[in-house]
Amino acid sequence: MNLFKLAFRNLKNIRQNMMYLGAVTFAILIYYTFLAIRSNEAMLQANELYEKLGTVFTGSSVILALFSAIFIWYSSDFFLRRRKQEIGLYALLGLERQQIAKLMFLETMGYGIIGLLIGVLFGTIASKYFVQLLAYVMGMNIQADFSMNADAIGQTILVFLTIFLLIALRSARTIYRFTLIELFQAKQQVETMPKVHPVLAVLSVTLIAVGYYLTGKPLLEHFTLVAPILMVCIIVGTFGTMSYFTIFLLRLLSKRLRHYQGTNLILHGQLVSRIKSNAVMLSTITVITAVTLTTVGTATSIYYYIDRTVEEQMPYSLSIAGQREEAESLIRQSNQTIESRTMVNVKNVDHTLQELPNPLSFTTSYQTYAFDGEPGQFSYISYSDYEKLAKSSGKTVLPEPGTGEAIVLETFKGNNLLKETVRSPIGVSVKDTHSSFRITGATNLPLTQLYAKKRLAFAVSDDAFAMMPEKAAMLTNYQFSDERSDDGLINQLEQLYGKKAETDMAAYYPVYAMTTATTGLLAFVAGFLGLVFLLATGSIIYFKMLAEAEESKQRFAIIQKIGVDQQEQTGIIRRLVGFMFSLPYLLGLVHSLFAMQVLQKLLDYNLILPMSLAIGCYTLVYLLYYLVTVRAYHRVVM
Amino acid sequence: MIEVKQLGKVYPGKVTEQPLTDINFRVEEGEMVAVMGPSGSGKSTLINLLATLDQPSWGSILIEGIDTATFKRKETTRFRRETLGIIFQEFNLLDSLTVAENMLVPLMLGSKKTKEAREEMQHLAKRLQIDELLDKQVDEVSGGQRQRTAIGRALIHAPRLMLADEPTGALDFQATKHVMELLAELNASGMTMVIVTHDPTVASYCNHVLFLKDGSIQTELFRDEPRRVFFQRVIESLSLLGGDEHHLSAIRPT
Repeated sequence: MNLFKLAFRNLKNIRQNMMYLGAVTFAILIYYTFLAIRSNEAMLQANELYEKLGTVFTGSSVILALFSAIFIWYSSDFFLRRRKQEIGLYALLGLERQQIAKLMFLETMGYGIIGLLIGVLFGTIASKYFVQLLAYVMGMNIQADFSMNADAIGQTILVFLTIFLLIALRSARTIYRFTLIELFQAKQQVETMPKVHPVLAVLSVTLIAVGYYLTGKPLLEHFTLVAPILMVCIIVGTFGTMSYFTIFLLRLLSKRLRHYQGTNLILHGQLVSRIKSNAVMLSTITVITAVTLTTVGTATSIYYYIDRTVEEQMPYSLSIAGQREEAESLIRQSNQTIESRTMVNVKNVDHTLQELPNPLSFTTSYQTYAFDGEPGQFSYISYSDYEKLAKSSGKTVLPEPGTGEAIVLETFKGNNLLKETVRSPIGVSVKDTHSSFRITGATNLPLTQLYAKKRLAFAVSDDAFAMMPEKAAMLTNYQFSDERSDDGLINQLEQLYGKKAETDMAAYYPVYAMTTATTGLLAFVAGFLGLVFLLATGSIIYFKMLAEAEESKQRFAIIQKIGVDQQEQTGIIRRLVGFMFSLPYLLGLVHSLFAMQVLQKLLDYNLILPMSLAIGCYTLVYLLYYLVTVRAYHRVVM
Repeated sequence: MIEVKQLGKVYPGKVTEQPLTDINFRVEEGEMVAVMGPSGSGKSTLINLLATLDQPSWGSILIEGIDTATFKRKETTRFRRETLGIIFQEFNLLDSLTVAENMLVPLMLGSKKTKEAREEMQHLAKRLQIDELLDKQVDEVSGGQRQRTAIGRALIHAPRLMLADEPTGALDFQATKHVMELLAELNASGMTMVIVTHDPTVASYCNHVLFLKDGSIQTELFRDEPRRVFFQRVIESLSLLGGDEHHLSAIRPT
């Protein structure tokens, strides 16, 4: 028998190392699947955009690799700790340290190879379905097949070989650092009771509160300055809360009378004895949970509102400048039927933005769209065109402005800043290049989708419009029956317009297709990472609790002997595991809700539904993990 | 064989561990020595020091004339591999291996041919009466059989010194008797032994008993009478040493 054989025999003892093998396989499976999705041939051929968006994948695969490293590190720690005594035994029987290190390395590699085989096999299967899901969310129609990807396999091997080498170095360090006697007494380590630091506890919670406060007005007003401060507050606050506030809280609870009722005392002892070593894990999981929920929530929300976003940018199926017979006939030949056609004459006037009076430079958000010192362009339309447009989009028609008067129009459908202004623009005088006029009304009305989207327009009386010296441009807006499907019409039109297509036509479909593809891909990647993070956090708690269970066997044996029955023990386990799961979950959830509330303000969408959807899914899987952990804990101690 | 001089071991910062203050004794070649004492008297600390698992704070341990503190890493390994055999209360077997494989682990690194090693192992197994169980996993055999497997592992490289930490602590009366008879037989064939125990029955098999209390050796007994009579003397010494301390220690886990 030699080292190889011993390593092999140890590997065969899968039952004991199941969880470690599972963790390694899981990490490899995820990583390989992700790479396989990126380099899927069918996707690359179907959409040229897909290759361009490769950076999204590259960035994410780096995150995944880091994450795999942390995850395997954590689970191998558990694995190593359980085997300290065995390592001591090898040394005692006369194995040299370097031989033990070699043995551990061989075992790590052995599991790595098994993990790689299973991971690549299942990854190939999983990636086919993931690719189909991705194609679906990107609005594409492709047929993916099962295919192995050599590059993906190569990169997976490279990344995980590095991780395993790091793990092997760590094992070697354990072997060299500890004396034999320490290795033998691995299981007998007693944790000292943690000290209570009320000041630090309160300070940590205060830090979080400050962070939350900053997500309000201060963040919106000075984003670049406040954002990093806020992050530091929240992260430091979280670590502090988990390290100090939890102990403080438990100690406080123990002073109450109920502490001596039922099994509270036992539960408390079990929690307090572990809280110190668990604090870092709990805080890490809190932060990961917050990040995951926010990312997934954001992605879901954006994906959920694709239609609205595109609709805002492109309120019409097609806008063209001028009216050309060829264009009209191309449209008539296509499958699209024209539902409506509106024409509007527009005169554009250059202003310098500084001229704009205060209520029209509007809210702070409107100013961000302006270019400092650059002249801005404003559009003018006649009252009769305004009336026509307002009627066709179902808005109330404002009365005609007289001489020296105008109605201000916000032309971007998505904005509603006119309503938000601190002071109504009505009654304000605007000095124009030619004359000055007073504003008598304000409304949101998309004139066209041709011009830069965030432009102000004014409707003036027909006479005043006719008097303006600028040349009028005639714009035509079409509404098609089926603007989301493309039968090559837009392409034909673009060819017809040639170089002028960029300035003289703007269509709904290309924007829709592009937005769906980008947003779909982002949502997919966010969802994928979210799922991985979720599974990893769940698994980390699972491992940790199981390690604790192993060490608490004796305690449970004792409490059973002193008359705590099965049911009460189950209760203790449930509350114990529940504490570990709910603490980071709840805090992470609140963190993410504050983050989402910022997003909601920025996007001006109602995110409650998509957010609830994302949180609901997350919670469901998390709950499942809780139940599995309780069961596993139960099995170990009873 | 062993000479322990003014040996001390302290654990700074730990109140739970009993320090050893001043230990002096000799073990002659071929002796079978029992170390007795109440729980917490430092018995296990002493055996850990003898086994080079731990380093003394002061004093010296000479084994075959060489101070173990001067061992380099290679020498420690060689000492463990060639001179020393050790058995524990909880057997410390590798449960991923069979009985036969557990016994073979120490030979794994030696220059011995596999075939030769197997023959030796089979011979030993017959002597330990576990030759029927060789291909079983260790969790399929009884406690006594496991301890005999552990003894087999300790014996496989024919050590000159056998250290045992409560070898019968987890065994019932029958199995204890069986294991002790086996150890006595091995001792008769010339192997030196040091056994830590709280069980007077185990001590009665030995021919030299050290009583440890409060970190130093309090009494030594040498046997020159039949086992039953020696057993009475051991009991008396225990009573003199600390009232009925041995009863207490027999109840308390050590």
